[in-house]
Amino acid sequence: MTERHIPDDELGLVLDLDPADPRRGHLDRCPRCYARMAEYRDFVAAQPGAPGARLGEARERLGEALEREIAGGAAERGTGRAVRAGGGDEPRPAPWLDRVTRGLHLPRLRPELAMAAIAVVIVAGGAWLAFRGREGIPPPPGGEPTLRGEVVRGPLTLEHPSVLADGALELAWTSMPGATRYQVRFVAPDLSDLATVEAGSDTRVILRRGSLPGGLASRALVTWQVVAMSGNDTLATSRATPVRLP
Amino acid sequence: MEDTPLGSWTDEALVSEAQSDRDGPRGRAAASELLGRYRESAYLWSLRQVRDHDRALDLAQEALINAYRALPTFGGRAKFSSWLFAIVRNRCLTAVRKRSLTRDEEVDPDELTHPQSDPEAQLEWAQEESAVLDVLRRTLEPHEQRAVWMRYMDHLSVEEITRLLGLTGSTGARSVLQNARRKLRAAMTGSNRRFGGDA
Repeated sequence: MTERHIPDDELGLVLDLDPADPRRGHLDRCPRCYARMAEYRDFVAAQPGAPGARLGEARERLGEALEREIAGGAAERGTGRAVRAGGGDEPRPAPWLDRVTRGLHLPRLRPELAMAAIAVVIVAGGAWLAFRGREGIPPPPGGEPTLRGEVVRGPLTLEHPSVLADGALELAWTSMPGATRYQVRFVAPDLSDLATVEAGSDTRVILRRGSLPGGLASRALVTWQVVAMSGNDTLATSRATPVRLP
Repeated sequence: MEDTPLGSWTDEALVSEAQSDRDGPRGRAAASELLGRYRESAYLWSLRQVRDHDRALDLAQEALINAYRALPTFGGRAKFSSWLFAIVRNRCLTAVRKRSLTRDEEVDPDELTHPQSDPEAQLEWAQEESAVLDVLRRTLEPHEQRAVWMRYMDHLSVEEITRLLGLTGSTGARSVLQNARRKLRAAMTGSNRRFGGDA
Protein backbone atom coordinates (compact mmCIF):
# COMPACT_ATOMS: atom_id res chain seq x y z
CA MET A 1 0.00 0.00 0.00
CA THR A 2 1.54 3.32 -1.01
CA GLU A 3 -0.22 6.24 0.54
CA ARG A 4 1.27 9.68 0.82
CA HIS A 5 2.06 10.62 4.40
CA ILE A 6 0.98 14.00 5.67
CA PRO A 7 3.95 16.39 5.90
CA ASP A 8 4.36 17.97 9.33
CA ASP A 9 3.65 21.47 8.09
CA GLU A 10 0.33 20.38 6.54
CA LEU A 11 -1.07 18.82 9.70
CA GLY A 12 -3.03 21.96 10.56
CA LEU A 13 -4.72 22.04 7.17
CA VAL A 14 -5.75 18.40 7.39
CA LEU A 15 -7.48 19.06 10.69
CA ASP A 16 -9.76 21.52 8.92
CA LEU A 17 -10.75 19.08 6.16
CA ASP A 18 -14.15 17.47 5.92
CA PRO A 19 -14.21 14.17 7.89
CA ALA A 20 -15.04 12.38 4.65
CA ASP A 21 -11.88 13.64 2.97
CA PRO A 22 -9.46 10.80 2.14
CA ARG A 23 -6.61 12.54 3.94
CA ARG A 24 -8.60 12.54 7.19
CA GLY A 25 -9.20 8.84 6.61
CA HIS A 26 -5.47 8.34 6.18
CA LEU A 27 -4.99 9.55 9.75
CA ASP A 28 -7.05 6.66 11.07
CA ARG A 29 -5.20 4.09 9.00
CA CYS A 30 -1.65 5.31 9.40
CA PRO A 31 -0.02 5.10 12.85
CA ARG A 32 2.80 7.37 11.71
CA CYS A 33 0.52 10.23 10.72
CA TYR A 34 -1.84 9.59 13.64
CA ALA A 35 1.10 9.88 16.03
CA ARG A 36 2.36 13.02 14.32
CA MET A 37 -1.09 14.60 14.45
CA ALA A 38 -1.37 13.78 18.16
CA GLU A 39 1.99 15.46 18.73
CA TYR A 40 0.92 18.50 16.71
CA ARG A 41 -2.33 18.86 18.65
CA ASP A 42 -0.33 18.56 21.85
CA PHE A 43 2.01 21.30 20.61
CA VAL A 44 -0.86 23.68 19.85
CA ALA A 45 -2.71 22.90 23.08
CA ALA A 46 0.44 23.65 25.14
CA GLN A 47 -0.74 21.57 28.08
CA PRO A 48 1.21 22.84 31.08
CA GLY A 49 1.49 19.49 32.84
CA ALA A 50 5.06 18.65 31.80
CA PRO A 51 7.23 17.60 34.77
CA GLY A 52 9.79 20.25 35.69
CA ALA A 53 8.09 22.99 33.68
CA ARG A 54 8.81 26.56 34.81
CA LEU A 55 6.32 28.25 32.58
CA GLY A 56 6.51 31.77 33.97
CA GLU A 57 10.27 31.92 33.53
CA ALA A 58 10.04 30.40 30.06
CA ARG A 59 7.41 32.90 28.99
CA GLU A 60 9.54 35.80 30.20
CA ARG A 61 12.88 34.62 28.78
CA LEU A 62 11.49 33.64 25.41
CA GLY A 63 9.59 36.91 25.18
CA GLU A 64 12.79 38.85 25.87
CA ALA A 65 14.77 36.82 23.36
CA LEU A 66 12.15 37.37 20.67
CA GLU A 67 11.99 41.09 21.31
CA ARG A 68 15.78 41.33 21.07
CA GLU A 69 15.85 39.36 17.87
CA ILE A 70 13.01 41.25 16.23
CA ALA A 71 14.36 44.67 17.22
CA GLY A 72 17.97 43.72 16.52
CA GLY A 73 17.23 41.95 13.25
CA ALA A 74 15.44 44.96 11.83
CA ALA A 75 18.24 47.32 12.87
CA GLU A 76 20.87 44.98 11.42
CA ARG A 77 19.08 44.73 8.09
CA GLY A 78 18.60 48.47 8.05
CA THR A 79 22.26 49.33 8.63
CA GLY A 80 23.92 46.27 7.13
CA ARG A 81 26.08 45.90 10.24
CA ALA A 82 25.98 44.51 13.72
CA VAL A 83 23.46 46.15 16.01
CA ARG A 84 24.54 48.93 18.26
CA ALA A 85 22.45 51.06 20.55
CA GLY A 86 20.48 53.79 18.91
CA GLY A 87 16.98 54.65 17.82
CA GLY A 88 15.57 53.05 20.95
CA ASP A 89 16.87 49.56 20.13
CA GLU A 90 18.79 47.76 22.85
CA PRO A 91 22.08 46.23 21.74
CA ARG A 92 21.51 42.54 21.14
CA PRO A 93 23.76 40.23 23.14
CA ALA A 94 25.09 37.25 21.24
CA PRO A 95 23.53 33.90 22.22
CA TRP A 96 26.81 32.78 23.81
CA LEU A 97 26.83 35.88 26.00
CA ASP A 98 23.35 35.14 27.29
CA ARG A 99 24.43 31.59 28.01
CA VAL A 100 27.62 32.62 29.81
CA THR A 101 25.82 35.10 32.05
CA ARG A 102 23.30 32.45 32.94
CA GLY A 103 26.05 29.89 33.50
CA LEU A 104 27.90 32.23 35.85
CA HIS A 105 24.63 33.06 37.63
CA LEU A 106 25.07 36.73 36.81
CA PRO A 107 21.98 38.94 36.87
CA ARG A 108 20.62 39.98 33.49
CA LEU A 109 23.06 42.74 32.67
CA ARG A 110 23.36 45.00 29.70
CA PRO A 111 25.72 43.32 27.21
CA GLU A 112 28.60 45.72 27.91
CA LEU A 113 28.40 45.07 31.63
CA ALA A 114 28.07 41.34 31.15
CA MET A 115 31.10 41.39 28.83
CA ALA A 116 33.08 43.29 31.47
CA ALA A 117 32.07 40.79 34.17
CA ILE A 118 33.06 37.86 31.98
CA ALA A 119 36.36 39.55 31.09
CA VAL A 120 37.13 39.87 34.81
CA VAL A 121 36.45 36.16 35.27
CA ILE A 122 38.63 35.25 32.28
CA VAL A 123 41.52 37.55 33.29
CA ALA A 124 41.39 36.37 36.89
CA GLY A 125 41.30 32.75 35.76
CA GLY A 126 44.23 33.32 33.37
CA ALA A 127 46.27 35.00 36.10
CA TRP A 128 45.55 32.14 38.46
CA LEU A 129 46.58 29.57 35.87
CA ALA A 130 49.78 31.52 35.10
CA PHE A 131 50.52 31.73 38.79
CA ARG A 132 50.14 27.98 39.05
CA GLY A 133 52.59 27.61 36.17
CA ARG A 134 50.02 25.98 33.93
CA GLU A 135 49.15 26.74 30.39
CA GLY A 136 47.03 29.88 30.14
CA ILE A 137 43.77 30.27 28.29
CA PRO A 138 44.49 29.98 24.57
CA PRO A 139 43.52 32.94 22.44
CA PRO A 140 40.13 32.14 20.90
CA PRO A 141 39.76 32.14 17.13
CA GLY A 142 39.02 35.50 15.63
CA GLY A 143 39.83 37.27 18.87
CA GLU A 144 36.34 36.71 20.29
CA PRO A 145 35.57 34.32 23.13
CA THR A 146 33.55 31.26 22.32
CA LEU A 147 31.85 28.84 24.64
CA ARG A 148 31.33 25.15 23.94
CA GLY A 149 31.36 25.69 20.22
CA GLU A 150 28.88 28.54 20.33
CA VAL A 151 29.33 30.81 17.38
CA VAL A 152 30.03 34.47 17.71
CA ARG A 153 28.08 36.42 15.12
CA GLY A 154 30.53 38.64 13.35
CA PRO A 155 30.63 41.02 10.44
CA LEU A 156 29.97 38.36 7.82
CA THR A 157 27.47 39.96 5.50
CA LEU A 158 25.61 38.36 2.64
CA GLU A 159 25.38 40.26 -0.60
CA HIS A 160 22.24 40.32 -2.67
CA PRO A 161 22.10 37.22 -4.92
CA SER A 162 22.75 37.91 -8.61
CA VAL A 163 21.42 36.07 -11.64
CA LEU A 164 24.16 35.78 -14.26
CA ALA A 165 23.67 36.02 -18.01
CA ASP A 166 23.46 32.26 -18.41
CA GLY A 167 20.79 31.97 -15.71
CA ALA A 168 23.19 30.78 -13.00
CA LEU A 169 22.77 32.15 -9.51
CA GLU A 170 25.70 33.83 -7.78
CA LEU A 171 25.73 33.92 -4.00
CA ALA A 172 28.40 36.16 -2.52
CA TRP A 173 29.41 37.53 0.85
CA THR A 174 32.00 39.79 2.46
CA SER A 175 35.32 38.27 3.47
CA MET A 176 35.97 37.61 7.14
CA PRO A 177 39.38 38.42 8.64
CA GLY A 178 41.10 35.21 9.70
CA ALA A 179 38.82 32.93 7.70
CA THR A 180 40.61 30.29 5.65
CA ARG A 181 37.47 28.80 4.11
CA TYR A 182 33.74 29.26 3.87
CA GLN A 183 30.79 26.91 3.89
CA VAL A 184 27.43 27.76 2.38
CA ARG A 185 24.56 25.98 4.11
CA PHE A 186 21.16 25.51 2.54
CA VAL A 187 18.11 24.68 4.63
CA ALA A 188 14.51 23.87 3.79
CA PRO A 189 11.49 25.97 4.81
CA ASP A 190 11.15 23.78 7.92
CA LEU A 191 14.83 24.57 8.58
CA SER A 192 16.05 21.02 8.09
CA ASP A 193 19.47 20.81 6.43
CA LEU A 194 19.47 20.32 2.68
CA ALA A 195 23.07 20.71 1.58
CA THR A 196 26.39 22.26 2.49
CA VAL A 197 28.70 23.60 -0.20
CA GLU A 198 32.39 24.08 0.49
CA ALA A 199 33.44 27.36 -1.11
CA GLY A 200 37.11 27.13 -0.14
CA SER A 201 38.59 30.58 0.28
CA ASP A 202 36.27 32.08 -2.35
CA THR A 203 33.66 34.53 -1.17
CA ARG A 204 31.09 33.39 -3.68
CA VAL A 205 29.55 30.28 -5.15
CA ILE A 206 27.76 29.92 -8.45
CA LEU A 207 24.83 27.54 -8.74
CA ARG A 208 23.76 26.23 -12.11
CA ARG A 209 20.46 24.58 -12.82
CA GLY A 210 21.85 21.38 -14.31
CA SER A 211 24.49 20.84 -11.66
CA LEU A 212 22.99 21.75 -8.32
CA PRO A 213 24.56 20.11 -5.27
CA GLY A 214 22.83 16.97 -4.00
CA GLY A 215 19.79 17.75 -1.88
CA LEU A 216 18.92 20.94 -3.78
CA ALA A 217 16.05 20.95 -6.26
CA SER A 218 15.78 23.33 -9.17
CA ARG A 219 13.44 26.29 -8.55
CA ALA A 220 13.12 25.42 -4.86
CA LEU A 221 12.85 28.22 -2.34
CA VAL A 222 15.56 27.64 0.25
CA THR A 223 17.33 29.58 2.95
CA TRP A 224 21.09 30.09 2.70
CA GLN A 225 23.69 31.03 5.25
CA VAL A 226 27.49 31.31 5.17
CA VAL A 227 29.85 30.00 7.84
CA ALA A 228 33.37 31.41 8.04
CA MET A 229 35.92 28.85 9.21
CA SER A 230 39.53 28.87 10.22
CA GLY A 231 40.64 25.28 9.79
CA ASN A 232 37.98 23.38 11.68
CA ASP A 233 37.03 26.29 13.94
CA THR A 234 33.92 28.28 13.19
CA LEU A 235 34.62 32.00 13.27
CA ALA A 236 31.23 33.42 12.43
CA THR A 237 27.91 32.71 10.80
CA SER A 238 25.98 35.10 8.63
CA ARG A 239 22.28 35.67 8.86
CA ALA A 240 20.08 33.23 6.99
CA THR A 241 18.12 34.58 4.07
CA PRO A 242 15.77 33.05 1.48
CA VAL A 243 16.64 32.58 -2.17
CA ARG A 244 15.03 30.85 -5.16
CA LEU A 245 17.39 28.36 -6.76
CA PRO A 246 17.96 28.44 -10.52
CA MET B 1 -8.37 45.53 10.91
CA GLU B 2 -5.66 48.10 11.61
CA ASP B 3 -7.59 49.45 14.61
CA THR B 4 -8.18 46.10 16.27
CA PRO B 5 -5.61 44.89 18.82
CA LEU B 6 -3.09 42.42 17.42
CA GLY B 7 -4.16 39.92 20.03
CA SER B 8 -7.42 39.41 18.17
CA TRP B 9 -5.81 38.90 14.75
CA THR B 10 -5.55 35.45 13.20
CA ASP B 11 -2.15 33.87 12.71
CA GLU B 12 -2.51 34.28 8.98
CA ALA B 13 -3.23 38.01 9.25
CA LEU B 14 -0.22 38.46 11.50
CA VAL B 15 2.00 36.54 9.08
CA SER B 16 0.83 38.76 6.25
CA GLU B 17 1.51 41.92 8.24
CA ALA B 18 4.91 40.68 9.41
CA GLN B 19 5.93 39.84 5.84
CA SER B 20 4.68 43.04 4.25
CA ASP B 21 6.31 45.38 6.77
CA ARG B 22 9.24 43.27 7.93
CA ASP B 23 11.45 46.02 9.28
CA GLY B 24 8.72 48.48 10.11
CA PRO B 25 6.98 48.92 13.45
CA ARG B 26 3.74 47.23 12.33
CA GLY B 27 5.52 44.19 10.96
CA ARG B 28 7.69 43.83 14.02
CA ALA B 29 4.72 44.11 16.33
CA ALA B 30 2.87 41.50 14.29
CA ALA B 31 5.86 39.12 14.36
CA SER B 32 6.23 39.62 18.08
CA GLU B 33 2.55 38.85 18.71
CA LEU B 34 2.59 35.86 16.37
CA LEU B 35 5.68 34.15 17.77
CA GLY B 36 4.80 35.19 21.30
CA ARG B 37 1.61 33.15 21.00
CA TYR B 38 3.68 30.01 20.59
CA ARG B 39 6.28 30.58 23.29
CA GLU B 40 4.65 28.16 25.67
CA SER B 41 3.97 25.59 22.98
CA ALA B 42 7.58 25.61 21.83
CA TYR B 43 8.94 25.44 25.37
CA LEU B 44 6.60 22.72 26.65
CA TRP B 45 7.05 20.57 23.58
CA SER B 46 10.83 20.91 23.81
CA LEU B 47 10.72 20.15 27.52
CA ARG B 48 8.87 16.91 26.89
CA GLN B 49 11.57 15.91 24.43
CA VAL B 50 14.66 16.74 26.46
CA ARG B 51 13.30 16.82 30.04
CA ASP B 52 15.59 19.62 31.06
CA HIS B 53 14.33 23.15 31.65
CA ASP B 54 17.42 25.04 30.49
CA ARG B 55 17.94 22.86 27.47
CA ALA B 56 14.28 23.19 26.53
CA LEU B 57 14.51 26.96 26.84
CA ASP B 58 17.54 27.00 24.54
CA LEU B 59 15.85 24.80 21.96
CA ALA B 60 12.59 26.74 22.04
CA GLN B 61 14.50 30.01 21.69
CA GLU B 62 16.52 28.75 18.75
CA ALA B 63 13.42 27.40 17.03
CA LEU B 64 11.41 30.59 17.51
CA ILE B 65 14.26 32.79 16.32
CA ASN B 66 14.90 30.53 13.34
CA ALA B 67 11.20 30.74 12.53
CA TYR B 68 11.29 34.53 12.73
CA ARG B 69 14.28 34.66 10.40
CA ALA B 70 12.61 32.28 7.99
CA LEU B 71 9.24 34.02 8.10
CA PRO B 72 9.78 35.66 4.67
CA THR B 73 9.97 32.15 3.19
CA PHE B 74 6.67 31.02 4.72
CA GLY B 75 4.38 30.79 1.74
CA GLY B 76 1.03 30.35 3.43
CA ARG B 77 0.63 26.89 1.88
CA ALA B 78 0.45 25.50 5.40
CA LYS B 79 -0.96 26.78 8.66
CA PHE B 80 1.55 28.81 10.60
CA SER B 81 1.10 26.61 13.68
CA SER B 82 2.02 23.43 11.83
CA TRP B 83 4.90 25.14 10.02
CA LEU B 84 6.27 26.21 13.39
CA PHE B 85 5.62 22.76 14.83
CA ALA B 86 7.75 21.27 12.04
CA ILE B 87 10.56 23.69 12.91
CA VAL B 88 10.41 23.02 16.65
CA ARG B 89 10.19 19.27 16.13
CA ASN B 90 13.09 19.26 13.70
CA ARG B 91 15.23 21.36 16.04
CA CYS B 92 14.49 19.12 19.02
CA LEU B 93 15.10 15.87 17.19
CA THR B 94 18.37 17.13 15.78
CA ALA B 95 19.49 18.18 19.26
CA VAL B 96 18.41 14.92 20.85
CA ARG B 97 20.31 12.92 18.26
CA LYS B 98 23.41 15.00 18.78
CA ARG B 99 23.33 14.78 22.55
CA SER B 100 23.20 11.02 22.81
CA LEU B 101 19.71 10.90 24.13
CA THR B 102 19.41 12.66 27.42
CA ARG B 103 15.77 11.66 27.56
CA ASP B 104 15.95 7.93 26.99
CA GLU B 105 19.07 5.95 27.63
CA GLU B 106 17.42 2.75 26.48
CA VAL B 107 17.40 3.80 22.86
CA ASP B 108 20.39 2.97 20.73
CA PRO B 109 21.68 6.25 19.26
CA ASP B 110 22.52 4.46 16.03
CA GLU B 111 18.84 3.86 15.53
CA LEU B 112 18.18 7.57 15.61
CA THR B 113 20.04 8.42 12.45
CA HIS B 114 17.76 10.33 10.16
CA PRO B 115 18.19 11.56 6.61
CA GLN B 116 18.97 15.19 6.26
CA SER B 117 20.76 16.10 3.10
CA ASP B 118 21.55 12.68 1.71
CA PRO B 119 18.92 11.51 -0.82
CA GLU B 120 20.03 7.88 -0.48
CA ALA B 121 19.56 8.05 3.28
CA GLN B 122 16.16 9.63 2.74
CA LEU B 123 15.14 6.77 0.49
CA GLU B 124 16.42 4.20 2.97
CA TRP B 125 14.55 5.90 5.78
CA ALA B 126 11.33 6.00 3.77
CA GLN B 127 11.71 2.32 2.92
CA GLU B 128 12.33 1.47 6.54
CA GLU B 129 9.29 3.45 7.64
CA SER B 130 7.22 1.72 5.03
CA ALA B 131 8.45 -1.73 6.09
CA VAL B 132 7.72 -1.00 9.76
CA LEU B 133 4.24 0.27 8.92
CA ASP B 134 3.55 -2.83 6.90
CA VAL B 135 4.49 -5.11 9.81
CA LEU B 136 2.49 -3.08 12.30
CA ARG B 137 -0.62 -3.10 10.14
CA ARG B 138 -0.44 -6.83 9.56
CA THR B 139 0.17 -7.67 13.21
CA LEU B 140 -1.42 -5.15 15.56
CA GLU B 141 -4.70 -3.44 16.39
CA PRO B 142 -4.86 0.27 15.47
CA HIS B 143 -4.33 1.52 19.04
CA GLU B 144 -1.33 -0.82 19.40
CA GLN B 145 0.11 0.37 16.08
CA ARG B 146 -0.07 3.97 17.28
CA ALA B 147 1.47 3.23 20.66
CA VAL B 148 4.32 1.25 19.10
CA TRP B 149 4.99 3.95 16.53
CA MET B 150 5.08 6.67 19.18
CA ARG B 151 7.40 4.63 21.37
CA TYR B 152 9.87 3.20 18.89
CA MET B 153 9.80 5.56 15.94
CA ASP B 154 9.01 8.89 17.61
CA HIS B 155 10.72 7.93 20.90
CA LEU B 156 8.02 9.27 23.19
CA SER B 157 7.91 8.17 26.80
CA VAL B 158 5.29 5.72 28.05
CA GLU B 159 3.69 8.53 30.07
CA GLU B 160 3.45 10.76 27.02
CA ILE B 161 1.91 7.99 24.96
CA THR B 162 -0.63 7.29 27.69
CA ARG B 163 -1.60 10.95 27.68
CA LEU B 164 -1.64 11.48 23.92
CA LEU B 165 -3.70 8.37 23.27
CA GLY B 166 -6.05 9.16 26.14
CA LEU B 167 -5.48 5.75 27.69
CA THR B 168 -6.91 5.10 31.12
CA GLY B 169 -6.15 2.45 33.69
CA SER B 170 -3.23 2.00 36.02
CA THR B 171 -0.82 0.71 33.43
CA GLY B 172 -1.73 3.11 30.63
CA ALA B 173 0.34 2.57 27.50
CA ARG B 174 2.64 0.10 29.26
CA SER B 175 0.26 -2.84 28.94
CA VAL B 176 -0.62 -1.87 25.37
CA LEU B 177 3.05 -1.90 24.47
CA GLN B 178 3.64 -5.20 26.24
CA ASN B 179 0.83 -6.86 24.32
CA ALA B 180 2.04 -5.34 21.10
CA ARG B 181 5.57 -6.59 21.65
CA ARG B 182 4.31 -10.07 22.38
CA LYS B 183 2.40 -10.12 19.11
CA LEU B 184 5.30 -8.68 17.18
CA ARG B 185 7.73 -11.16 18.65
CA ALA B 186 5.49 -14.01 17.67
CA ALA B 187 5.00 -12.63 14.17
CA MET B 188 8.57 -11.80 13.49
CA THR B 189 10.28 -14.65 15.32
CA GLY B 190 13.03 -12.47 16.63
CA SER B 191 14.06 -11.14 13.27
CA ASN B 192 13.42 -7.51 13.99
CA ARG B 193 15.98 -5.88 16.27
CA ARG B 194 14.12 -2.57 16.48
CA PHE B 195 11.38 -3.84 18.77
CA GLY B 196 13.52 -5.69 21.23
CA GLY B 197 13.75 -3.08 24.01
CA ASP B 198 11.61 -2.57 27.07
CA ALA B 199 9.07 0.16 27.47
